[in-house]
Amino acid sequence: MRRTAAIIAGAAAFAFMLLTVPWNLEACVAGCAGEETSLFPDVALLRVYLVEALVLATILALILVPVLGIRNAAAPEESAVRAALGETTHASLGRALVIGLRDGATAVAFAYVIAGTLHVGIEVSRGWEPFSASADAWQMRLVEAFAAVVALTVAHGVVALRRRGTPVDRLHADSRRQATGMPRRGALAVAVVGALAAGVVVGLAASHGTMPGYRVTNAAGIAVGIAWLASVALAFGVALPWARVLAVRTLAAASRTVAGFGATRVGAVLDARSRTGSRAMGRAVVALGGLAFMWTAFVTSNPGIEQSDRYFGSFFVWGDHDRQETAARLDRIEGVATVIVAPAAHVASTWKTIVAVEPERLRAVDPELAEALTRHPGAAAAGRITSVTDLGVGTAVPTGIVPCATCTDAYVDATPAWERAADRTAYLIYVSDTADLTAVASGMDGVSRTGGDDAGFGMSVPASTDSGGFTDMLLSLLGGGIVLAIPMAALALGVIRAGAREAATMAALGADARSQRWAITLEVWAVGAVAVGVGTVAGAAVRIVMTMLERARVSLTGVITDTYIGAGLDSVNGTAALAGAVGFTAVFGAVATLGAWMVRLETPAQAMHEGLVGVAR
Amino acid sequence: MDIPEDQPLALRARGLTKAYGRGAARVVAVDHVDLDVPSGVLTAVMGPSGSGKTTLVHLLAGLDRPDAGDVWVGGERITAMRDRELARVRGRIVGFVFQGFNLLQTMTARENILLPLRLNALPHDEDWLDSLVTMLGIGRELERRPYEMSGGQQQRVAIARALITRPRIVLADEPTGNLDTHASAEILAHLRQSCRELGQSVVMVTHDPTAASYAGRVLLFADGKVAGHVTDPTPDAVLAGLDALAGVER
Ligand SMILES: Nc1ncnc2c1ncn2[C@@H]1O[C@H](COP(=O)(O)OP(=O)(O)OP(=O)(O)O)[C@@H](O)[C@H]1O
Ligand SMILES: [Mg+2]
Repeated sequence: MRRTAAIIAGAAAFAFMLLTVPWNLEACVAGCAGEETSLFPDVALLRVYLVEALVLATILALILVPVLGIRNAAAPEESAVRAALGETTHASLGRALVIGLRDGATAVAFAYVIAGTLHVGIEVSRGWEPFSASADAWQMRLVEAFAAVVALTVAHGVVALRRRGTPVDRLHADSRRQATGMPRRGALAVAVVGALAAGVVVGLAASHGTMPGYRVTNAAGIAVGIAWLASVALAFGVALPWARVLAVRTLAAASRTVAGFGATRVGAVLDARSRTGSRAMGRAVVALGGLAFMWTAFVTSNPGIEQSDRYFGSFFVWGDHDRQETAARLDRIEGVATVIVAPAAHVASTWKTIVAVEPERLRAVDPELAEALTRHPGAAAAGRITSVTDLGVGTAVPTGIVPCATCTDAYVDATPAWERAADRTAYLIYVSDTADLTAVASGMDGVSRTGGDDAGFGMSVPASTDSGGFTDMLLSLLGGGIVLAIPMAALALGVIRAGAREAATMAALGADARSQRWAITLEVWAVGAVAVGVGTVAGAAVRIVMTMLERARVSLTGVITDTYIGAGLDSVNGTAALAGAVGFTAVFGAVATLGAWMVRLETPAQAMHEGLVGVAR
Repeated sequence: MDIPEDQPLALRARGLTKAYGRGAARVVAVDHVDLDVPSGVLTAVMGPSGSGKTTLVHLLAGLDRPDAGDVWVGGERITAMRDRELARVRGRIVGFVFQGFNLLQTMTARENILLPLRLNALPHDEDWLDSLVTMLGIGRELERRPYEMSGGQQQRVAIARALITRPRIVLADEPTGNLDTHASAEILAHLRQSCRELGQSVVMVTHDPTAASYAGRVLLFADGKVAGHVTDPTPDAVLAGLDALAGVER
């Protein structure tokens, strides 16, 4: 399944790359001031990407290892034969790494070029210079590409190194009953480590009044990292292996049910397959479940509240100026519907601006933000990775953070302390439904040019999220989903092929092609549903737990703004998770069904000789 | 051929041809073979390695499709059959022992042996299973999986699997190739006995002149063609036949 593994690595990288394509790039009228694309990456930014990439690479490798293991049960493992012929572990590892690197580089290069072409295509079609918008997307994708190559290389290496026992042991290894995952004690140990890490984060967060300091935040950060690793390990070490067992049981039940309805042959084939295919099928379960897990826990999530999509941005003025006059002029700009004036404070050390606004004034134009500020008085609604320690101005310190996906600035309820801390005025600009955004932008330019000499101006626009608009989000999710579906399809065909020899044997013993096709069809749907179901549930669980911990972490030295459970549940993108689960199962099932029914009919003798197709007649 | 006209035929082949590969790599594994296999007879097929014996028995059992020619199994032309009928022939009329056994790796010996009954919705006869197991001497292996058995034990399980449905015709590709003299003598005696007493027909590929001497007739196969045959063979007669064949080749 070397090729399938390469396809999966490339497709997974591509799925993540799609998220960085600027789908919702605004149309540009004349000479848009896009950032220069730097060939030399920003080191700090790169570090953040690299950490993310490593997490991705780990999970991808966990998926790729079983995929590489799927093969025709009767065909001996090539590396075992080579070992028997005298190849050293060293040489075999070297060969595996080279293969992984080469395959990975090829697959990922394709993904990078296609994503890049999309990127440039969108820029050009919306009037931007090529390479001028979302400059860091290029670096981000490079890091994603890197992660995928690393994952594939590591997976090849792991498979090569997994030389348990002698060559003879390994020649037989694949026939043995499938393993049932992490040993109980190991799982317990990992769970305890994860729980301890979680305890550290929660403990630090719960002890209000702790002086903010690097030690505390670093300790919490490390603990969150450990908790992440522990939960991923539990998902792959316990949940997915359990899904394997569940899949086999489901198949056994299905075979009894089918036989009960009178289709005894289909039942018998299914029963035989449920055991003979268990190894290849078991690996497919881990890979499929892993992809569903990745989708639910990482690709899709609700990062927090979002501002109204009518929010255009904020205009800041510091120094002496006439507030009413400025507000009126902004209001007069064609397309502007509402201007909300509020005091704001700038934190020089963290470059954060905090806008102090009474929630009631936001209620009509920005209900989600208003609701967040009302529900959590004292807390700040701020970008997802902001911590309260970034937002203190003198005695004015928010008590907690409400994560906000689109917030460039932070928002707090206006209290006397914040008003005292304010050093500028924010004009929050909301546009009308039909506004011409470019006209609004040039109108604001005009306002800034006519200001007084003492005044300074600033402008902030909403943080672009991956989910700029709902349809854009849906599109890029759909793109990601379709791309993740490619590995599902490859897996489905791989599983059918891996059972070719058994299928041929059963054909030789009197199983007709129709019964075999039906059995394969039932098998893949049942197994797909179980794998994706377990993967999705595990992904959601990890998402919930980790959101809770991340909430606790950003609220260090502050109060936790939401109930943990509530925040956790909110963070699962239910629609996307469900759509993914249904979609993946459907793709896996449909492709395998097509494969089972359309595959060229080979005679048993041919199929045994070539071991290539799954249905024999 | 010297087969009495009144004897019913178990297998018949006419113009049977099968080639692999193309161009320079083309190998005609079975080359216009005409063959009649009478019922109730143990027939041995002998010939050099690569002469096409496996291909021939695959074609006779309906496991492979010939490029040309026809095969009749018990009077039915299987080369014209659709999948369903073909499955019935493979499952109920023919029992096949593969050269490479082809046991299902994650099933126990017992499950492997009983699989044809389940696939063909045939009743399970415990006494028959017992007598096969006793005859083949695999009583202690029944709950083991193929990888936990020796090659000879696997081979005997494969033979039991072929016989469990009491097929009218047994096609066996080197069924005793991995067995010691004693075990192979017992199996061959059993096969010969069931040919005589139950009217079963057995076609057995073998490289062993002693094994071939159990047969009622030995077909000599070379270069995809029937090159001769020996009736009522003794090991010496078979060897003589093979030598003659080698002489022809030289
Ligand atoms: N699937 C295949 N593709 C290509 N060539 C094949 C295939 N199967 C068999 N052959 C070739 O056909 C010829 C006959 O093969 P076959 O297996 O029938 O021989 P055999 O007489 O059974 O040999 P042995 O005694 O070694 O088992 C050989 O030359 C072999 O290389
Ligand atoms: Mg052969």
